[in-house]
Amino acid sequence: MQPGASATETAPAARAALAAVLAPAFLRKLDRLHLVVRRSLSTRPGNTPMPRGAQGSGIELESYKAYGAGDDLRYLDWNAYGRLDQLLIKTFRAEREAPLHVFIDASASMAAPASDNKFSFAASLALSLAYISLRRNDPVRIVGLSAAWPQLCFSSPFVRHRDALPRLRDFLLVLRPQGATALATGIAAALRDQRSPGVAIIVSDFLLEPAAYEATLRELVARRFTVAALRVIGPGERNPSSLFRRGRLTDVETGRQRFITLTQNSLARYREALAAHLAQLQAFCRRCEIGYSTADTAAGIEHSLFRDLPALGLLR
Amino acid sequence: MSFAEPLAFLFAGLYGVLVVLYLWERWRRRVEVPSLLLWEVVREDTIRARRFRPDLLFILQLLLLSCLIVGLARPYLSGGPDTRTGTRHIFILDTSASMQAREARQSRFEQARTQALDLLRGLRRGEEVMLVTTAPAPEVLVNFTRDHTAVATALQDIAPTDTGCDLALALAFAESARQRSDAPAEVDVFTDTPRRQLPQAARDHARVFQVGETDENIGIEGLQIFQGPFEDFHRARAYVLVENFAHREGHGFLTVRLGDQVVNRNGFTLPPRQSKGFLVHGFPGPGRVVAQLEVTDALAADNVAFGWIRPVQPLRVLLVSPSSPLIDDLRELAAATPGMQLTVLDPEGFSAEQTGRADVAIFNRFVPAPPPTANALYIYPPKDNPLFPVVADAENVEVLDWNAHHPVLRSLRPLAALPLQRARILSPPAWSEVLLWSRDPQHEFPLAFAGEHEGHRIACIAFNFESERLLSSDTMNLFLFFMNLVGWLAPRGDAVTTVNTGEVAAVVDMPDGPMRLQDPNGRIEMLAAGQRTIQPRVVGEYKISVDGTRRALLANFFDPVESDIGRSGKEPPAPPHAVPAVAQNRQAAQTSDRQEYATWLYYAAAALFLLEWAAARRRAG
Repeated sequence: MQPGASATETAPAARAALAAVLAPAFLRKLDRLHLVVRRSLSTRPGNTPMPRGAQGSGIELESYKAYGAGDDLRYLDWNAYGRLDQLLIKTFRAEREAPLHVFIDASASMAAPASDNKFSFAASLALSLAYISLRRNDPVRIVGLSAAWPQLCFSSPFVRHRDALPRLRDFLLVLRPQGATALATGIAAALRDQRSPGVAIIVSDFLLEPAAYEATLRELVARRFTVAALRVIGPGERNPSSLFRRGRLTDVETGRQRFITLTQNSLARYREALAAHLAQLQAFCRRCEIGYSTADTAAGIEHSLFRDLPALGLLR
Repeated sequence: MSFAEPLAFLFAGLYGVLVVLYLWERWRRRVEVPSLLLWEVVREDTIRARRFRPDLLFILQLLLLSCLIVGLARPYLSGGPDTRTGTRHIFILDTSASMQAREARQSRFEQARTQALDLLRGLRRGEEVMLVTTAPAPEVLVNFTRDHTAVATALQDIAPTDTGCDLALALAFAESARQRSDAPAEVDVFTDTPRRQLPQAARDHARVFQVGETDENIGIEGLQIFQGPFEDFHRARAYVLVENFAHREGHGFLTVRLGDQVVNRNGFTLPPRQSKGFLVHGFPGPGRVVAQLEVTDALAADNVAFGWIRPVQPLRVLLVSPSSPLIDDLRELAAATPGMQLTVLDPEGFSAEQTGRADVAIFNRFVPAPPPTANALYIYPPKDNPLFPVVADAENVEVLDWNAHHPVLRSLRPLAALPLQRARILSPPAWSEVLLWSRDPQHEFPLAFAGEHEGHRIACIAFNFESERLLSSDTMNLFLFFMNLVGWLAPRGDAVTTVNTGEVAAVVDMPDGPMRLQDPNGRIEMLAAGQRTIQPRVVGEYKISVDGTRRALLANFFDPVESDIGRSGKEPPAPPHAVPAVAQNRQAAQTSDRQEYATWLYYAAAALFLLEWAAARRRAG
């Protein structure tokens, strides 16, 4: 594992956040949730029900169909023949393996402002989603994305059992937010060797030009991934007046500076720009049938897991 | 352009503070943000921290500060070249002794000077001022000048004197100067003399600033040393006159010292406006007598007086006379007079060089030929004497009149009805002054005359001393006359003289050469070679020296007018009674030659403040 360079967000904050996820009481809460997948994914048999999937050896009756030549007579519903004098074949939900790829933005922007604790929140969210997926024995990996690494991504191995959750925790603890954002290129690099689709949840602040992420997300959708974008945002980013009145703003990724006096007018303009940015992201995701939700660090992780994501349809 | 308060420019240091505040304002706290993507829409401040590039706000603040600083400096433009139309002012400052009287915390003089300085500060630039002092005589200290600073300096340097003053003369001089002035002139008098006591002419054209109210003063109004010309210190007496000028009872002590030794100390109580004399005797020796009052009053100048008890000086008398009772009388007199050395010669034994060993030569019934060049007294000269032509003889004459102003007769009681058996009727020489007169049925004739001739004092008694015994109890006045005459003929060159302050005293019997004068305050002045007069202005001892020859002058302040410091009610300064119409028109036509611009600068500062506020709000908006 590559240890990360020191970033604005401290390791103790991340450690505490991840430890809270692994708390038994919290895990029991997570047991009530499971990942909802809407697309056909892996061909490997799994425990995840696949909607409109091919007939498989599932146990969950989905519907009936008229008997046709070549259908398996083992699934003939004799009760229905006795009542209706019709030959009907039972169909079942196909259960496939749904590999979960949690892409966590590990660029420097996720550590600023430090008071927002975006990266810790994102790591907690990733670990929680990993646990939910591991309960169904689906493979899960967490991939950190940053231009600071030579491959633009840093991936954990796939784990398939929830007992392996601490390994994912340890992996997340190693990650440090650093370098420039490498959302598109990192995802592309991470999925280069992945032939079968799965679930891709991208946890990021998406502070980059839309052109930088739209193409990659479309590609994921085209590859039949179930994609969800979780926009992590904190109170400092929503309301920068709590951070400064007159300052020398410094982009943590590029080092560019801008001298800003935060007047009422300038604050209003910033908020407009933020709202437009969020709206644009949301609109794009809606167009591409990508799940989108904002994950507000101020609201807390439980709010995201038990309200926002179920409302999104990603969890149930 | 000039500035009334140039010290205000010290506030220019605030420019540096402004720059520091500007740079400090521009220094920014580093704030890390995840991305500047969303901040691109916010207008960036134009000033960078490390470079000083003033913006509009800074320039407005700079201009605002400049307006305030320059406004505080009170800039003004002086008037045009025609500043001669300003009023002239003649300041008369009373410097007499009464101005030293203390009124609460200040003396009258300090109050008057303060008023004069205040008036001076209120004058416009271009107005001329003359400064005149009054004591002991009017003196123009500063002639008409526009240099108010020089006048103020002169005012600060003036000190009152221990003399009286002639305020009327000073006012007359000022009035004359005012009338001769080609510009309107005002006379301002700073004095403790009430306006109503000034001459009417002065009151019409002068503005009087009166100071002083108290009448608390007890002073020495006289110190007289009585010591006969041939008496030593044992017989010397001092008479001190003390007067209470206040309108209530006064108490104090009078101490009389000879040098440092206390001779007499008396406590006294004086009723209001009363005086008392103190007779002091028993002086242990010759020397300087100091009478000192210990009183609580407002004027200290008259609390001390000086006198001098002479040491006995030998008097060498040469008597050239035939046998005569006068010889026995003079021998007896010499035996009884300390310091008198008598030499008696017969006329045949007389030679001219013998007069060189005598202070006074007395020729009784003898006039040598040629007459000696010495101080000489001729008694009853013979008829064919070469000095005094004899017109006739007279018998049984009386002294009918005498010259009471002559020093010989000044303190004598009348010599009238002094019968004389025989006398010469002489023609007194032109250089002489008659001392005693008598008369016969035809005309008046002198009985005694005296004068100075060819550097010597010469006296002549025309009557015969054969029958008028000098030491008879019936002829006491004649004896005193004779002794005074001898004393006048041989003046004692006292090293110490007593004078009154303000009087001009002649310094005699000093070698030629520059005279060094040290006043009682220790100040030394070198007088010109030919100057042999001194006018003391303060009480005390003046030390005079010329080429090692030393004299002393004891100056006393005996002036009841000045010592009577009470002023019955102060009067406010009244404006001049009549100001010529021409002068008034000229004054009305005068415009101030000093245009100040501070107010305009303050208005500009206010306008800049509004502009700066608007600019700041616009930037914030």
